[in-house]
Order: sequence, then structure tokens, then C-alpha cells
Amino acid sequence: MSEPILQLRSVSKSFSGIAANVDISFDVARGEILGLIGPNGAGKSSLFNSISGAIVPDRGEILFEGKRISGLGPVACTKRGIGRTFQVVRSFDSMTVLENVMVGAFARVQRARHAMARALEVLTVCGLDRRADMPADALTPPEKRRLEVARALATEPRLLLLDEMLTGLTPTEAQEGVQLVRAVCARGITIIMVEHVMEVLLPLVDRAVVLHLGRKLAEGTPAEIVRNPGSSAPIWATAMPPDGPLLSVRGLTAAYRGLRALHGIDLTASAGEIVAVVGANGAGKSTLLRGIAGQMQTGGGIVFDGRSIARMPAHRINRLGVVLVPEGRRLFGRLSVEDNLRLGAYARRGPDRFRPLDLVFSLFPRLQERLSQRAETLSGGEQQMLAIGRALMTNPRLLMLDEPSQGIMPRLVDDILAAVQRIRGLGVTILIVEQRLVETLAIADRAYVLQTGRIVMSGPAAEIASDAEIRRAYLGM
Amino acid sequence: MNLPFRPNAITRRRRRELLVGAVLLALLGLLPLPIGNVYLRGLIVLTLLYAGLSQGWNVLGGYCGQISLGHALYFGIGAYASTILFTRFGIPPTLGMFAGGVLAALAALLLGWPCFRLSGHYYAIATLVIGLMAELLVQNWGFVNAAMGVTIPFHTRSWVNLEFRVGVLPFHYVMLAYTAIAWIIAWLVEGSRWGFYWRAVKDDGTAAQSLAVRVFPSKMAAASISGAITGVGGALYAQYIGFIDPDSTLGLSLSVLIALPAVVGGVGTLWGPLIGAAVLIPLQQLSAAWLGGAGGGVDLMIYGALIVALALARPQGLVSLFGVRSRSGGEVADDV
Repeated sequence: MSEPILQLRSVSKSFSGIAANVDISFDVARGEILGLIGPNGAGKSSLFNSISGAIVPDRGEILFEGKRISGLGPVACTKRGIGRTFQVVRSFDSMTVLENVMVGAFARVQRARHAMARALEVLTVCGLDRRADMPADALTPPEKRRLEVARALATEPRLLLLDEMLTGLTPTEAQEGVQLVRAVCARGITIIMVEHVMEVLLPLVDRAVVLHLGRKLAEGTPAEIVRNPGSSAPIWATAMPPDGPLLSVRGLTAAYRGLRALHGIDLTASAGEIVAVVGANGAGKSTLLRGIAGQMQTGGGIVFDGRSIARMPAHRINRLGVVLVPEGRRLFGRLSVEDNLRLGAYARRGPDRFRPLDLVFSLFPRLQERLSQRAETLSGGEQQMLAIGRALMTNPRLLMLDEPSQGIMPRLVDDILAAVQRIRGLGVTILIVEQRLVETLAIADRAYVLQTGRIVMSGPAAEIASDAEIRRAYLGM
Repeated sequence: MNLPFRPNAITRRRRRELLVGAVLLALLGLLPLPIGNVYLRGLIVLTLLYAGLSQGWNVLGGYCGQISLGHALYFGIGAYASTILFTRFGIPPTLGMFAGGVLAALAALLLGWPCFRLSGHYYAIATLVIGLMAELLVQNWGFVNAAMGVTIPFHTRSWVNLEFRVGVLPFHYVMLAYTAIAWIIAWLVEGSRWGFYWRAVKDDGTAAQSLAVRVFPSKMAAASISGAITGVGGALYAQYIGFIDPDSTLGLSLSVLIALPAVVGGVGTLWGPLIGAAVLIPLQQLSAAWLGGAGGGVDLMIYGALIVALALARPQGLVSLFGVRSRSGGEVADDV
């Protein structure tokens, strides 16, 4: 390893007495991708702000290419070759995409003509060249994130700081983001990225630094980080309860013609989790999912991604990224496989709406072989794949599966559960209701046991599965 | 395949703007010739003046997003500087107006030094208060004849002194030149690095800094250009009317009148101030002429109601009637 591009020496920073960073030291090698991980409040943002010059550390120093940069201010840091994006997108919305990037290019050139040429080049790298003359505020959220990367690239950075560039994106969009990061890295630019979605981040980075409560907890390759000695769980799982659950259900009640089906359900699902809801028939599992999806009236609170969706109409909940694959699949039988999938995509707008097709085909190659076949002629397992595929076309963030194994031959059940795991691997949170306990609890992180409309037990899936008492009493196993 | 085609989108737009500007200049040059009515000619002169003034305001308030409610200050400095230089020292207004512009620019910098550290509404409030203070000071300043105002004596017909006896036709061309130059300055800066920096600062200062944009100097540059344009306009106004006093050159209503055409026409756009002035100034003058005598401020009520209606119908400014904003979106939609 030659001289590191960035060196942090005992960097400390506190805000009105509260320590944001304590004594943080690490090096970043030229050309590597470094992940900065940790829960909210771990001090990632203030560290980013120190490196990009937005704030001045109280103690310690930051060396960029061997020269001290701490205290120079953001403009000087950018001039020296440090670019950054923001956690909350900060595009210049009164300007076009091209003009946004030209602002960045002016950091290196004087004349508008040269800035334009440079900006167009960068836009091509970021896959935004076709959007060049669009107003920036007309871009989709993932495109805006790309725009921020493009803008930073236009300042010709040698070190690029990406702040939660993949957060809040659907799996397809996240994969495109990953490709962009790789492309930037291939241009010889060193990257530090803050990210929450570990499944996406860890395969991408060369090394990671884990922060917790302002201190450096660990540093190493992804494999070293995950294999945390002395703890059974991966280090980031303990260090990072994500900042509040993605889905949080409080005191949920529901009734059919006056007959109570749910009596105050409390349930949470964090980003990237597989949460199983198990219980006997009639326990209220399907009602729970339908209530979350807005397909029936409920009482109590449902919060998704910080927003109350309790009394929101179903189509709006769907647009937020909450999708239910209903029991019995509910396919459009007379339509072809392809048309069923396309129908799922019409909840989204824009030319990219059919892009998740590739993802669906990679998960379920069978569907690609049967594109023009009518849905009703598929086998049960294939129909289930199609139902999941159709749901994926809406680019969900929370995928709810109601009895996906129903009426399917056992071999295909394994295929489908494997697909569910892969979908989770893309950062989608999964809430699954299943009769097949052993297989389901094997892939789930946590589980809730439901009995006559009440939660009688919850905990890590492995514990629920191994507890003989529970098995006998509630699950009839 | 995108590269040779795309870069010209901005360049093509800018060329088109120059072309439209040239045609408009020619048309405006011919406009007064068939009009014999002196009142109407005067109305056009005023409209041209406000178009230029608002173009100047737009540099700071529109592109850079620093809303000023005290631009009468720069106007008044320009008017008083050129008038005093002329009446006391015999320096012709054609020179005096540049002195006025420079002084106004300096004032804008002086005011910007503390005030650009304020954000959001506070800048607008600071300019408002300082504008009112300036009016009060001049009202009590004997050297410039206090609240009585200064009358500019008529010597002889002279372009150098911007004094003409016959009608208002010469002033039509003086104001047209002023507006045209203000427009060209706006056109130039809009396409320059400064123009980009200003819009970046307006939209998001933090993001701008991360792209090596120096926020404070950017604002100062916008303020000085804006102040200079307004100051020159004040000097021209003084010569046109032949009389200045604190109320007509430093009043709050003037500050609003300078800002309004840009706001109604389209903030931060090249054509907004022109369109806004073309609609507002005749509207204001005519409603005052027809209804002002009736008393009770009916004219102002109608004028205000019209502005509200315009703002409701066209929140992006009248310029959006011409598809200025949607054009770029349309092009993209074509090739999808």
C-alpha cells in the first residue's frame, strides 16, 4: 500500500457537549471503496462533514494526500479534490440537469463552453445524458442521487464521499447504484460510502469501518467485519439496530361484521428483515397483512418509513412501496404471463417502469420461458412465482407474502423460499405468513406467533422454532 | 450520439434569445413612431425604464435569490448623485449616471457585507428597513434640499446632458438603450460562471459550497451588478422627469415597483422583467389615470386584485405562458 489518500488522526468532535466523534483514526488507501457503517447517531455524518470541510474537528487532524485539510472549509476541500453527495438530496431544482452538473464543472474551468463539455461527459458516465435538458426537479429520486454523483464528479475529485446513496432505493435501483459506484471506482477515484443496506454495501466495499456511539468499533474487510469474534451475530447486526423499524404496527384491531379478528397487534419489521407471522388457521394472519396493505378497515396505528399509513387508501400505500402478494395469488388468468407482469408496473410512472422485468426473470427464469402463455395455464408453483414477480414489478420496499406455499408441490416451495431470501438480499423487507413452519422459520430473522387475533409469542425465528413448548402449544407440531 | 447533439441545447436557446432580443429591440425602436399621443409615449418610456430596473433587481433577487425590498436606495443614490453632480458641479448626466451606478454598487456591497450573513426573510427585512432609513435621512439632509427635492434646470437641448425639449421621443431611445443594456448584462451573466453560481446559491447554498462555490462573494457580485444597473436607471429617471425628491426616488413603493415586474413576469428568468413591466406599468398608470381621481384608492385596489389574479393564474410568472420552463422537458419527452 502506497501512501494513503486520506488519513484521520484522532479526530474528535462534539456538539454542545455531546460527543459525535471520539478519537477516530483510520487510513483510506488510494483507489479503494471504504464503507462507513453504524447506526444513526454513530457519528458517520459528522465524520463526513469533517472530511468534506463542512465542520472543523475539535481535536485531531485530517490529512488528504499528505496535507492537512481540517479547518479549510468546504470550498477549499472541493478544490483540493474531495467531492461529496448528501444524505438528503440537494439538487438545484430551478436548473436543468446539465446546468446542475455545470456548476460542479466550474470548479475546474472558467468558460461555460468547457464546463458544458465536461458536464456532458460526466452525465454520460452516470447514465443521465438523456436527461441533460430536463429540469432537475423532474427527475425520479434515484436519478437525483445520480445527479448528485455526477455533480460531484464534475469537480474532478480524487476522493468521493457518498452519503447513503443507496438508501431508500428499490432493489433494481440499488443495483444500478452499485454499478455506478463501481464505474466511478474504475476511474481511479477513491470512495468512502455511508450506507445502511448491508446486503448491498458489504459485497461492494474493499474495507469497512464500523462506528458506534461516536467511536470506531471495528475496521477490516467485509469478511472480518461480519465474522465478529466473541459474538454470534455479525458485528453490524449488533451495532446497527437500523434507525427505527421500516414498518411499525401498534395496537392494530380489525373486525369482520362485528366479529373481532385482531385484538391489538404490535409488530415491527426493520429494513432488510424477514419477519414471519405464524399460527393456526383463523388466527388472523391474513387479516393482519390485508390491514397493513389498506385492503380492510383497521383501528390502531401503522407507520411505514416514518409515515402513518393507517387510514390511507390501498393504492397510495402501494405507491409507497408496500405490496401484498395475496393468498390464492389472484392472477389475471386470461392474460399472458407478460401482461400480468406489466400490469404490476403500471403503478409506477415513466419509461423505466418495466426495468424490474430483468430482476424478475433472473429470480424466476421459468417465467421468461412462458411469457406468452396464459396465466391460468401455469402450474401452481409457476403461478406463485408470477404473483411474486408481479409484486416486484411495483418496486416494493416491503413485500408481504400470504401463504406462498399454498397448493404447491414441496420441491417448488423450496425454490420460492430461496427466491424470497434473494429478494431480501436486495434490501427488500419481507413479511411472510406461512403454514410451513420449519422451512419458513429457517429463512426468517424473527417471528411472531399469532393465536385468535393476539400475539402470544415473538422473538428470533431460531428460538421460536426450537422451543418445544411453543411448537406443541401454538403451532401444533 | 448524444454528444454532438446535446451540448447545443443551451447554446441554441441562448442564440434564440439573442435573436428574439434583436427583433424586439427593432420593434421597440419603431413603436413610438406611429404613436402621436404624448401620454402614451410617456407611458412606454416609463415601461422601458421599469423593465430595465427590474432586470437589474432580477440579477440579485431572481438569479441569486436575495430578495431585496430596498432597491429604491440604489435608485435614489443614482438619481441624487447624477443630479447633484449636474446641478452643483456641472458634470453632465451622461457621466454622472456612471458615477451614480458606481456609488449604488458600492452601497449594495456595503449593505451586503453584514446583510448577506442573514438568511431567508431576514435579508428582505434588512433591505426594507435600510431603505426606509435612507429615505428619512435624505428627507432631513439640507445639502440635497431635504424633503423639498431638487429641480433640474433646463439649459439647452443637449444629448450630453440628456435634455430635450421636443416631446419624449429622444427619451424613448435613451430608455430603450438602458433596457437593452440591462438585458444584455443579464443575458451575459446568465450564461457565465457567475450566473450558474448564483442559481446554485439560491437553490441550495450548502450543496453549492460542496461544489467549490464561494457563497458570499457570489452574492456580493450579484448585489454590485444589480445595484449599478438600478443606480444608472435612477440617474436617467431624474433627467427624464427633471425633478427628484426623497419620496419619488427612495420610497418603499418604488422598491416594490422595481421588484414587481420581475416577480410577476417570472423570477430569475431573462424575459420575466420585460414581460412583467409591459403588463404592470401600463396597468398601474392607466388605472391611476382613469380611476385615481375618483378617490378612495379604487385604482390601487383594482391594481392589487389584478396582481393577485396574475399570481394565482401563473405562479411561475407570466413568462411561463411562453413555455420557457416546459420547453426543456418537452425535448426530453420526444426522444424517450
